[in-house]
Amino acid sequence: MFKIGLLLEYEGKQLFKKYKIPVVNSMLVTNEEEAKKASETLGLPVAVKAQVLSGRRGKRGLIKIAKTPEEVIEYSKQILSMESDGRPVTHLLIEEGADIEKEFFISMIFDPETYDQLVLFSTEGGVDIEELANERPEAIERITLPFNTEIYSFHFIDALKRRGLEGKVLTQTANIMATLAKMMYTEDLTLAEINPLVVTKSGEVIALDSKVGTDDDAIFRHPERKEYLSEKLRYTKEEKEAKEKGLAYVDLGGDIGMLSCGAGMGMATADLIEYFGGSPRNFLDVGGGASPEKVEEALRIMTSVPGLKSILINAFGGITRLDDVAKGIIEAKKKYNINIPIVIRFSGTNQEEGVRILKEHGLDAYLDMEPAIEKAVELAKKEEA
Amino acid sequence: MAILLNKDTKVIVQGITGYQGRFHANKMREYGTQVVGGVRPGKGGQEVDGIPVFDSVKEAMEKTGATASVIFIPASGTKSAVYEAVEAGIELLVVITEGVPKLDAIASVKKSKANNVVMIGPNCPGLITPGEAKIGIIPGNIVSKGNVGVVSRSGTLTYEVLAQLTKAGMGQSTCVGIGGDPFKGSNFIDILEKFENDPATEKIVMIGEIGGNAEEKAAEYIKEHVTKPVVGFIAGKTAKEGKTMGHAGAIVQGNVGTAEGKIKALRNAGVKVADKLSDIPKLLSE
Repeated sequence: MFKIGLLLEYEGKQLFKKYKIPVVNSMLVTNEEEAKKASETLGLPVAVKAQVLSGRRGKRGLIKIAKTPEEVIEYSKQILSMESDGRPVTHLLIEEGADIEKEFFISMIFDPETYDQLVLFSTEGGVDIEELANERPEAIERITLPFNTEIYSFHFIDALKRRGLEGKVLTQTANIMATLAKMMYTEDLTLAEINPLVVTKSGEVIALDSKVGTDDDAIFRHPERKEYLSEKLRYTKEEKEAKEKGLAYVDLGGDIGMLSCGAGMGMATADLIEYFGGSPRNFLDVGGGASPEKVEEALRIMTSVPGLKSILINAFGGITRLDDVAKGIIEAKKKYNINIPIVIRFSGTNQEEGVRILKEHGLDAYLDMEPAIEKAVELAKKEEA
Repeated sequence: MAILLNKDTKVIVQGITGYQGRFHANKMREYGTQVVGGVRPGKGGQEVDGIPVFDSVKEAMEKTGATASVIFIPASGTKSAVYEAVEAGIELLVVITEGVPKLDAIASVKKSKANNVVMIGPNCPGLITPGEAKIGIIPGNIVSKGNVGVVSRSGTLTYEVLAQLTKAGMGQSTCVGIGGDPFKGSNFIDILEKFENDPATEKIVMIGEIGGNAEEKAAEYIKEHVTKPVVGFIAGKTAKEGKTMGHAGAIVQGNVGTAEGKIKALRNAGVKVADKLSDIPKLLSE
């Protein structure tokens, strides 16, 4: 399951600052007193912006403009009492106000089809861009830069001129786009977006927001990112624990705990749980070649979540050894005193030895996956009744 | 006949002295693959379980006549391993390594394509031509020789499907695991084209999953170019709304990536899509 490592707005802006992309002054705070102090330093009016991972913050009341100290306190309190992405808002960015003349939009990715760098630009920023793309696709300019192009601002000038930009605004915007495009390489970004990029009344071009996606697989080149707040907010407690142990955990909200060896297998298993009328609690993948310790740890994380009605372990032994999986199950069952019914499916490498170990401890395994999944669903329903 | 790989293909293992490299070099050899050498700079002249080790891919190719390489190198070194193999003139390159940074994966794919190298992966189980040879980690005991070509984005799910086909008496011509990463050397279309042109392949099974639009693209291709019957399966119907790829991703790809959309696209192209994995053999024999 592919997740992009989105940064929080302020983290993205720290990156922008490092590359001299203009941003307005701002301060990160965690309570209304700090917010008030920040607004005194920055000068009113200020924007009070929740630092959360999902978008459309304005529409969700997670961004407010405060014109007085009282408003700073009121809005800060209000936003800090709200939730986003299933967790409370804990951090606010207090930001200097900007005199906005025009709003642009820039977004860049590596095109999933051509693998080249694709840059989108519109002079109609600040609005819902996906809506704009549907209604008036011609309002969005597309520029393709072949992968590993040596990028300069001239790459963007013609397109921006076509969109009516001129003078200093033209050169500043082209410079920002070139910088952002280069950053994608040096910072291992999967997404670089500024919406809105504003032109102020005095003619300055400034990034008023940031949406930056980082490549989790490249974190070894950017070890500082492990300490980022976004890294902590991105995962639930179970997801985070699993990640640290090299497991993949995704919360799905149902009541059947599910463990698989391999991601595709996990998805197919979750599909079948629903097909048979059940509801998976999680997607938990120990990967191929899992050790007994990994299986044991996976079961510990799974059973730490309340409300489980049954557990389904679907293991196809390719490079995974099923005797290892069996050992992990038995160990976890003892150590964490698991009393929830466990349904196991074993097929593949060292299957006989695995089943023998299970039987010694009063468990058994199915050979085919579908009957096992049906059984787990049936048991979960029985628990309910 | 089969695609990409047969019993005469000479294979080297980049990273043969590592745990995975050594383990799977042996497994490949046991299955019948001609594993003619390994590469590990600084350990040239040594042997790993009787397989000669060379300091570079170029040297290994010159001395063994290898045309294919499989990479078991940690993610941080994968890009340079790909570049080395491509510049040495390899023809088939299988990258097993998972967790390769996206930029490195793109660079590797571009490099391979520019030099007409067939690259499979990264983050893939490799390929197997039953009864002849395998490159990668697909277990040899779950396949049997036959006329079904299998192409899949998933690892373990592929094994499950192969085992079910074998159990149902439906052997395979070649099975290719293309890997689950968004940027990869070969996609469904590349492999479908080869199956279509392979006399040993009479039917095709295609295993996809949610995310991206490779299945939708494959559906378009099948409609236009594939005359052999195709059975499909898509994993991830229950997964939550795909994690956003940002506006650019959404705008470029439109509303794609869901299991529903993929199934619909495939059915429109005449592909029989199985609701459950166990339906695949039945749909193939219809």
